[in-house]
Amino acid sequence: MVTDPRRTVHNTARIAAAAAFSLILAGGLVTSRHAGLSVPDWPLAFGQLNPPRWWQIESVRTEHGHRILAFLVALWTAFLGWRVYRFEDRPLARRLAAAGAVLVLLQALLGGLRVLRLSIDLAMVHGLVGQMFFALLIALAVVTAPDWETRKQPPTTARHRWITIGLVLVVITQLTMGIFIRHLGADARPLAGTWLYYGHIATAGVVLSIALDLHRGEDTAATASGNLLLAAIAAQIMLGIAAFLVTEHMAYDLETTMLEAWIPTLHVGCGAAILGLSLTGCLHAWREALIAGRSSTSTLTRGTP
Amino acid sequence: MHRPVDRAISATLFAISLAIVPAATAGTIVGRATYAGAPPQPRHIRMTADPECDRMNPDGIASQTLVVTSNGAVAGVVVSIKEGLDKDAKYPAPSVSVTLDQKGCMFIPHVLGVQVGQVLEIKNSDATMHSVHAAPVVGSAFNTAMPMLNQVIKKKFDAREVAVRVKCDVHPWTSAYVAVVEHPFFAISGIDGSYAIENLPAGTYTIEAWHETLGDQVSLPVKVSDSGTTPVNFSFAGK
Repeated sequence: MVTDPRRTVHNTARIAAAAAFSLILAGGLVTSRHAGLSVPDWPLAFGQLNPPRWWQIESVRTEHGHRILAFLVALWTAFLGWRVYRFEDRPLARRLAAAGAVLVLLQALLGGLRVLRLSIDLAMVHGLVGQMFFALLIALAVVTAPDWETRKQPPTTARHRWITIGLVLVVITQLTMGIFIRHLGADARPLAGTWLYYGHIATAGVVLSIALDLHRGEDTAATASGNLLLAAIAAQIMLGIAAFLVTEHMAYDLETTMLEAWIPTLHVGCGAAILGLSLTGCLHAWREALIAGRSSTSTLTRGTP
Repeated sequence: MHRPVDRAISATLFAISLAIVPAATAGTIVGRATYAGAPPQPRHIRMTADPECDRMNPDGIASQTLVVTSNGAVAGVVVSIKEGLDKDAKYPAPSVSVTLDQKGCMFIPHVLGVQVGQVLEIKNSDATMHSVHAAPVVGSAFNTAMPMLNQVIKKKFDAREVAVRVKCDVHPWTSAYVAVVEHPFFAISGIDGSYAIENLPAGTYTIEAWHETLGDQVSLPVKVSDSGTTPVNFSFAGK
């Protein structure tokens, strides 16, 4: 049995994206449980690779588990980079893989500096870069699909293509505001009623409007990913309301309950899913342009006999 | 780390500073911190997030954040001289250190005071890992691992701050407040709400009372006479 190397690279990228998604959930749980500084040193933990009883203590398990998962994701990203370098000749895939390798290292460094410098600002940057890293791996999984260049899809209009870019940018803005609310909320409650909350709610409405517009537009076929995007946005709005309700009166100096820990974390995860789905739609909308760019770049890179 | 000779000099200077105010001519401020209204029920802390803490406190314990007795006394109020001391007077840090213990997965005491530059010894008396995270508004924050039983670290604060919050991020229910004062004229109210600031030179003083959840109050100027005892009480509005 012969394995298609491109198929193997694509599957490696899909696993990487899934692992990065689980890492976002793990990181979200760290923030929800206020466990980000429970391991005061980095890269070691309490002076050791694995401190004793780390899995028994909730906060340490959450933070140290996040670090272990991050380490595994970094290794897998390096493996993915090697596979792309070895088997892929599409420049976009190679660039994305290289960017992924850089981003995962930067992300690890940001996580470490956040701990060592006790910095909320770096924690927020760490949260945002995590989402960007996940988005990058989604993009890599999309463009390494074996049928990326050959699959049939309805033609798209220029309006549709630009709206897909707009959707991705609004989702990133929405995520950024969410990161601010989560990280500043613990120290500077209550943030409810501030421009951050209203902005976060308003951009949620914009995201929903754009997604509906894309979905029902005459120039757009209702795709499975489009339906999934709408479902994710609906779930996200409900999770957002639930997250607000469970954290509004949260006692930050008591143990975190399961609801307090998981509902905001699922809200973060659903946000990442919306980003991934929006980006997938955007890449598909711009596919012809990206392939055309690839052809010219590829010719330049490889040269002609 | 201070050398023994430094400590000796420091102790001598501190003794001299107190000797400047002979006991016969030193006044005392005494008083009580009370809570106006029905005493609130303390929140109950469960420690299931760490089996070792849960083993030591299987039924949980009452939060120390706001301790009000049935007769309205408030514990853990930091009372200190805010204004009235001789601005040129120097108050060297005592050579004696103050201890903040992590015991039973709580900080003991919950509120304490140190002088600027005085050594604060932080100890782990538990067979579980702790951390010490202090976040002063003035000066540098620190977050130090305390993984070992009987581990002791020493820290100092460089500027007045009432009060610096100290946490253990391993156990989110733990907190303590360290009042950092530039002179020795401060006290923490006990479980009966009482406090006493002794060895004060005669003069007129403004006194500040601070509590972590009830806020702070500043007294009207009070006159302290030689060898006299001046009462100053503080009543915090109930929440």
